[in-house]
Amino acid sequence: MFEALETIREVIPELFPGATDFPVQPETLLSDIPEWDSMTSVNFKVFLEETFGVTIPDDLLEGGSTIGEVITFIGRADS
Amino acid sequence: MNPSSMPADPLGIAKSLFRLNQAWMFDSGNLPAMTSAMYATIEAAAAEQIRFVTENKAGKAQAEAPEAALLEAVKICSKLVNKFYNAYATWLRDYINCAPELCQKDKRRSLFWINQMISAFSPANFFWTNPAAVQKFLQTRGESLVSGCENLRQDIQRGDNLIQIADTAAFKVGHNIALTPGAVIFRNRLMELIQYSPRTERTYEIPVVFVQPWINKYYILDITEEKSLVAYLLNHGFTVFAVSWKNPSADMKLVNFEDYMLRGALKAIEVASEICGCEQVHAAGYCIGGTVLCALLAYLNKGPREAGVAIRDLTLFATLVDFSSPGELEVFVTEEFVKIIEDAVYKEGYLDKKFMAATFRALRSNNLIWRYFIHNYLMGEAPPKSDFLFWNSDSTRLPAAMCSYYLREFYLNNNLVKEDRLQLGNRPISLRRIKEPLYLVGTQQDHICPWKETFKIFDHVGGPKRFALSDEGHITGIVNPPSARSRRRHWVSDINGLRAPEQWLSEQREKQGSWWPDWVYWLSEKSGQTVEPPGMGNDKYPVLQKAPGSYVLEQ
Repeated sequence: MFEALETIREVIPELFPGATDFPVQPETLLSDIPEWDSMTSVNFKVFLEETFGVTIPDDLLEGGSTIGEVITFIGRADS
Repeated sequence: MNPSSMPADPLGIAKSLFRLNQAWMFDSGNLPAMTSAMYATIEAAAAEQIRFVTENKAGKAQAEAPEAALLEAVKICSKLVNKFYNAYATWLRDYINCAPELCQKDKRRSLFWINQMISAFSPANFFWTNPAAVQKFLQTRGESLVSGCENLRQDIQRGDNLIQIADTAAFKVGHNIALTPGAVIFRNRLMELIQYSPRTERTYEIPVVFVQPWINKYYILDITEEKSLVAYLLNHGFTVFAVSWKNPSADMKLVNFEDYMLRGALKAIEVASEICGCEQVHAAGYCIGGTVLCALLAYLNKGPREAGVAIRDLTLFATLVDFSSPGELEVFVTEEFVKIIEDAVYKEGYLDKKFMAATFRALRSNNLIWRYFIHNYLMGEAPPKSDFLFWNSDSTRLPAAMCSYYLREFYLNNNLVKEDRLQLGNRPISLRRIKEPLYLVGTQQDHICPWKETFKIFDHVGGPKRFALSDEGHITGIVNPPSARSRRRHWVSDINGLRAPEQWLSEQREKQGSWWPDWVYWLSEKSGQTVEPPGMGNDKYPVLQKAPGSYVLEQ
């Protein structure tokens, strides 16, 4: 989980240019990420799928989900 | 178009920035403090990095693991450059937002164009200040840039000046996208009407007719089974029709907004009514599809009383009728720029789809331009397999006459909300004549049809009104299927009396999940009896082709 979190932390400023110093924690809500909207969520989905090799369901990447829930899903899908 | 004959600054960029500078000249306010703060940020960042470099044993690391040392150096430099960049970007935005005595319109325009520049100059867009791109380069022994150059070559060769944002080979309409079974049961020069196959043993008497936007293709409400509003309605016992518009060619130069209203929307409603054996339909329009439905309903209500009104009730998704503050597209709406567009479209016969695509991408340049610049060129990745992005890039042309009319009468002159100012189908158009029940859906992050602007329709129409505000944006706020895991939110209520949108929202209780069930319930109350499903087409309108039809495939 830690590795996935670090990978996501590194990419967040790239995918969300307004989030350069934004602290990303497992409990961070996706909708709290600066410039989170439906288009950035698509880019985030693409990144997760390409990086972790899993298919991310659309309803996992809604604003009310947390980074931790996304990472947990990736971990389960991978095992 | 002859560059020397173009008016200077048709988009008002220089004008807005000039007014911005003038505003500061007359009152410097806290500009000195803002600038000092920026320099302090830059100094602190530089000091931090210089301290790191002088304390770092870079020489030893380089010898032992040169690639790791290179990457570390790139990360250090990028971190510093990003701090400088963010300091400058923040200062520029504050320079606009804090400008004294500057009207909101000039602020918005200045901010839009400055943000285009800020996005373009992001350090992430340059190879040596993008650590992820350098890391990929090292991991792939340079192949990432080879792939990136090939992606660039293909985009240049395609000739549309657009970066490919979706793997267009991964999707084929009718094969793995837009799959809900149905048939084309009517076709004219302007549209194909699709009737979907029923899914329940009995269906409501009154069908739903979707008048889709003709900017991009119709199937956004039927992308996949899981996300399909069409399928959702079918599963709940409705007969559903959808208009699939022809991608106009040059010979459709004189096709006008009135044609879309009468030969498109109205014809679709008439055909659907005949097939279902009913006098009225539920009419649902999305974006410009909703705008044309509003005009149509006003037109029908001006007709002879004995003719009746073929629309039982109206649903609008993310639709503007009042264009006084039309979201971010406003920056492109000036008399001079509309004139340039008109000159171009009347020469070609249409507004080219690549122009439409470029315009909408500019509204979200970070996400729809620079993200893919990095992904496709610097990282050498293939465009992603995303059904939403595929649809987003499946753009359409606009006929010259319709384009000119829409830009002038709606965006420039805002005439739809002016009583009887527009004449369509030889009738004066007034929204005040609309008394049919209205269900309006707005979306919180809509930058094309801001929800507070869509709310203004309630100032004009009579009849019972209900408003649902969905979270998210212009597309995913509407394509919002219910799901057990969903954390989506919405607010919904009947609209009684006039109130400002903010006031309305403050009085609502947030609800979890999608607004779709609320809409379906609202429709079902007005849908009459359930009957045996109508046949697919009839003698007058036989099945012509399986859905999704032909027009949707035309590029």
